[in-house]
Amino acid sequence: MPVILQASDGQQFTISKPVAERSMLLKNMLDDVGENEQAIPLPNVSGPILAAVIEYCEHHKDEAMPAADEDDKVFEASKKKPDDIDQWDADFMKQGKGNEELFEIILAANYLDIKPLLDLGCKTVANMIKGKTPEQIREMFNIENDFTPDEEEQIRRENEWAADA
Amino acid sequence: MDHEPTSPEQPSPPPLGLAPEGTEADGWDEESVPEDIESATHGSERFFRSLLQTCLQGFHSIEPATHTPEIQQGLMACRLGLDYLDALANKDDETAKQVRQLEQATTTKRSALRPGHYIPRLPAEILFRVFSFSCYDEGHGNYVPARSAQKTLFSCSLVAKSWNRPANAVLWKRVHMAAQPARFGRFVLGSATSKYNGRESSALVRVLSVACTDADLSLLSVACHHTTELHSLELQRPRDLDATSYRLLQRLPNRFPSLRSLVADNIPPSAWNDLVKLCASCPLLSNLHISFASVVTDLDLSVAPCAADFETLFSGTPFLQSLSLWRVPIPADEDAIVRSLATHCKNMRAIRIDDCGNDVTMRLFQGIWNSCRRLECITLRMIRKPPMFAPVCLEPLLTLKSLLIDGCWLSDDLLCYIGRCAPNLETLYVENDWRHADGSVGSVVHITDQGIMMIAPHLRNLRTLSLVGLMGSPHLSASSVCVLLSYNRHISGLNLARPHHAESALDDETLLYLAPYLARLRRLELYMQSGLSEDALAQALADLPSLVSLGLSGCDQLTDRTVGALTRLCPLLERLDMAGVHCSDDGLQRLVEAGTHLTECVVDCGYGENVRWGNVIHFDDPWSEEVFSPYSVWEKEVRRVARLAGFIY
Repeated sequence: MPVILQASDGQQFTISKPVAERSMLLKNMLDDVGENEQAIPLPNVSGPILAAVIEYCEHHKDEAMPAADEDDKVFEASKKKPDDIDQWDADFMKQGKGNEELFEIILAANYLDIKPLLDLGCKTVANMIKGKTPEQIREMFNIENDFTPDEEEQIRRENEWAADA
Repeated sequence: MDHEPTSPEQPSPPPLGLAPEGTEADGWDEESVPEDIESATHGSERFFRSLLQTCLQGFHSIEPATHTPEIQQGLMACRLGLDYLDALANKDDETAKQVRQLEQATTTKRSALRPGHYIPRLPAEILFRVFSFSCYDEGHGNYVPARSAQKTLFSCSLVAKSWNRPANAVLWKRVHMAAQPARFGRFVLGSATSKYNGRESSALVRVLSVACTDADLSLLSVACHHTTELHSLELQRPRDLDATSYRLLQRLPNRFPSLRSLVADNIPPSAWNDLVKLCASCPLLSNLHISFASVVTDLDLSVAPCAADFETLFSGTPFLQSLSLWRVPIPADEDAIVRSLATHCKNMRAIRIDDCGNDVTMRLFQGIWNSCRRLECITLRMIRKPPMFAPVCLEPLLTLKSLLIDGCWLSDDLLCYIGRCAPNLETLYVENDWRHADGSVGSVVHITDQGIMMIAPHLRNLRTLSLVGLMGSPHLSASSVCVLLSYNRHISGLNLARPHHAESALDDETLLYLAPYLARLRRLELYMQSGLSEDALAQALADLPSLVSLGLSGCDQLTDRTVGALTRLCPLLERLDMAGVHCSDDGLQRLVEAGTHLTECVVDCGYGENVRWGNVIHFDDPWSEEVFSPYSVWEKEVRRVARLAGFIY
């Protein structure tokens, strides 16, 4: 039984149930509602971003779902090396995606509750900010510095012990 | 003048806190804050003031949740305008100048952003996730953030207000200063500054690790006033042994009311009494690890923990859940210690007694087993003496999941009791290290096939089984291990390693006999089993199609022929340890090419330099599979206790 998703811009996508179930939000919804031919509206996700998310879920549809209790392990001290991102995943994140899309995908993964995609996005951002200065990070993600010079100086002094490598 | 209420996130004026993210609202400034307001008459001043107040009220009537960046900018413009009018009314030129500068600063900054390039904000919990990844993913299983990661977090904390909190939460969570005492002073200064500034970043510190010198302990006694939510304190021996001093430990008691975990590593015995006092002043203590330094001075030799010390220790820490003692000489009166522990600490989940003196007997084990009724993990090492008053009697302990007994006196009878009384055991580790305390070769482990046969029908939940230094005569043959494996069909990890000086070894016949029972195995360790022939090993491995991790370190009989074929025999192999195995680049190349799943390979330094490794990470620093390492099992247990008890370790 296919599942129909409707993005914020009205665009509709028809996907198979195993693909939809990569999203915990959709899985729970489908479990609760049962089979239904109506489109599921996703007002927080735009068409192009939803298409990318579906591409990811298609690729990973046959993998085992991560166990909930493993979260801590992945989170703090995975034994794996730093850039431990699957090749397909790395390419998926790179392909023609600007930082805007990257953030949109992270937000969509968070909203749809797709833990591996959320982690992939977070890891990608983590790798991007590695070793950067505050100015470089602001430039990269178009973030405004909303500190007053005083506040900035205060924080610099408080965190100074972490500053030199 | 009545100042307009500011939004809750804003601590105080100047009102620059709201972050305009959009870029479209140009021109608002010209209209709201006229250039030549200084020359305006009193009447026009009133006019502008009422205009601005009306606008402000209008903006405030909009539901805060639906504020667009434009509305936020409008709000800010109104406030700036009102501040400016105030300054003029008070003839306060300095403030007027400041307001103008603020206004300028916001407009310039805004134009620095690329127009039309809108990137959504990430909420704090996602930023927290990002920062946690950047902090810990280089960790190799340890929780100490790398210096480079700290530097990145420092940058992140300065990016913008929305980034500051989550970055600080990660940066200040674990503070490891033991290896770099020079920075500790700057950290303490930073903590004090942040407290003074009302930001209280120091209250975010959960784990603090410091070296034990006079300077560091004295700084710690200052820092602990700020780090009010500290969960874990680690006292380490400094790298500079000459600077080591535990004199100031006595100054610390009553400073850590929230402490849940104390790790005191390598302390001199002379610091024991101060340490006991420190523990007794931490009423919430859940995890305690104390290890004595291996080299002690004459002064230290005069100090030996007595039963009364343990009574003080345990009576002051009623919430203790995990206890680890390493090289802490336990007095001969074992019963008294067990009694104190059982009376005061009713919630013990994990206990580790490692190399705690020559007087300890296995009666201690029996006492702990029968008195602490909620134990999930017991780890024992180097208890060489049998229980004083035989016979042993154990009561059922259904909670026990992990039992590790290394180099301790053990008989078939005791093993049989263990099997019968702990049916839910998932990890069983028995090692005969073949060495007495004085270093001579000898064995106090008396396990034979009979013992293994007797426990086999009782244990049905085993996942990981380690029989280290026990395969072969005079200990175990294939027949008993086969029976154990057929009763426990969920065993996925088998460790048949052999200590260097072991007199028993695995032979071809035993391995081939075992092989058909190992088909479900995912992890196999054959460290130092150099007596096996290449053919037998290859033949056995052909029966292990699910293997993902294989330890062959020290198996120096292996050549290219077998090494090159390993990944064909076990196609799912991900991790291979071959330290001490000598083979050519050619053999390694065949191994890598056939191994589609291979990700990690341990080879000796100098080997494999001309191999095209592809995605395979290779290094010469072997680490043992976590499930087979008593140390890792213990650490995991403590982390589990921490998670259940809700503290950061």
